[in-house]
Amino acid sequence: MIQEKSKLDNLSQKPMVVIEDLHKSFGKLQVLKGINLQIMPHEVLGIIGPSGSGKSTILRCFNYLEEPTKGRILIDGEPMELESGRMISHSAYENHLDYMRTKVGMVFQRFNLFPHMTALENVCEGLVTVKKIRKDLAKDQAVTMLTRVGLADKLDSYPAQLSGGQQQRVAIARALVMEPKVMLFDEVTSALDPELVAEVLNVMRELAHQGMTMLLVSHEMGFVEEIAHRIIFLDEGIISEEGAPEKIFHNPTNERTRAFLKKVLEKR
Amino acid sequence: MPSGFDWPLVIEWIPHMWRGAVTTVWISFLSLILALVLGLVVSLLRLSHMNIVRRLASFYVDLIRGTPALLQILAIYFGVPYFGLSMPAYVAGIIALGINSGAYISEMVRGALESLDKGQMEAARGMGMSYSQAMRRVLLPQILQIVIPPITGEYNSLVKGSSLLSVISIAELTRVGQRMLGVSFRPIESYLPIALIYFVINYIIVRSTSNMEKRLAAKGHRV
Repeated sequence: MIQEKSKLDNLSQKPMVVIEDLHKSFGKLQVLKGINLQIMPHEVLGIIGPSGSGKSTILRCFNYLEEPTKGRILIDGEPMELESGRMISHSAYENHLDYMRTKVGMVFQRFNLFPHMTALENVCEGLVTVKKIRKDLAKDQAVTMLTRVGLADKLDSYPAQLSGGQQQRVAIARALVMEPKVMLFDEVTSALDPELVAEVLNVMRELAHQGMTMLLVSHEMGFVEEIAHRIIFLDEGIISEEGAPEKIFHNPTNERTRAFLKKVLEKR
Repeated sequence: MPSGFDWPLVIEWIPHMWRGAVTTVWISFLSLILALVLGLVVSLLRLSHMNIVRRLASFYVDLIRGTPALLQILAIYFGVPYFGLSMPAYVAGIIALGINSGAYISEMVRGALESLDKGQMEAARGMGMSYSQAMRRVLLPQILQIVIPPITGEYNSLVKGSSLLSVISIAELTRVGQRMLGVSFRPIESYLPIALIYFVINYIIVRSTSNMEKRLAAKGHRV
């Protein structure tokens, strides 16, 4: 772990992700009120905060499942959204977004696997439909990826035949196989039975060690503390505290952070 | 007093009834095909990002649902030639029934799409699929099983509704019954066998689609 973090410090290079002045409102409700973030390649960023603080909204705006009200998101220097001002047709705008979304892998709380496809077909789908990779090659890659998440024996199972932990690992494989530059994890263990959480966290830990850039929204505080290089505490739509896990968890300066951590850590 | 059931009359008319039944089956089947295409297209148009397209599509549905099918058939049959296009009665009939049924089917498809978890669209879009790819590959295959029962019901309605086409002198089942009555003046012998034939046709449709449902379910298509 320590090695990982020091490796990160040495990489004084361009950020993988830049989030500039991100705002999101739903009607009158302001959920995000100006988020600024830079995430370096290989960095794991943990996002914590009380419910309703906008944690998931950051991830959902990140790949434009929710269109930001204001602000800009760049991945590896490329903006998610085509610059306005120029005349852009609706389809050109959408095509660019579709292309940019292939660079972002998202894993959801409720898996969202395609129930009419087997595990293998779920993982192949993006390669074949989006990346237009030949079916047999896609299948090879998908098998490799499912093997990596420990599901080599479940290729032909339908999601309904898998446990929650297995389904979530298929979902991770489905996102990874697209070779994204960033992975977003949106409370991916919250819908799991407690005994199934570990198998999913193990896959994520592995991924972090291999150097994947990750944004992590989670209630698993111990896990976040362990694998995140940096943590932001989100409160009412703004980043109210930011720093290394040791600092946030053991020496928070912000009163709200302290109160929040006291509440969640007591439960353990 | 009629002296009992006139069997010889019914037997004499069996060949006509058979031809009428065949006409009823193929006309309602072609109408269903048209209705399925129309229903799918309209349900997708109702989800369009263009306001005007959405409004036109839902106006079509409201218009069809708000007027009697009989008048829709007459409107197509007499209205289209008014614009200088002539077509055989059965073409007008199929188009009218298809347009009518398409409105109902579009509602079924829309309802089924709305019943799916929003996460399905999000997962598909999130991996870079376009809207139409997500529809084709992820959403539409999942509603297949949901819409089969209501569409079977709609097919039954079409078979029954095709009896309205007797008013534009298409020789389907009901028309055969009318002709039989006109010749024999025996309403029971004219209409009872025909009602029975409608029932048998619909019964076969219901049975065969429920087999299809079972096969789909066996393939593991259920969530």
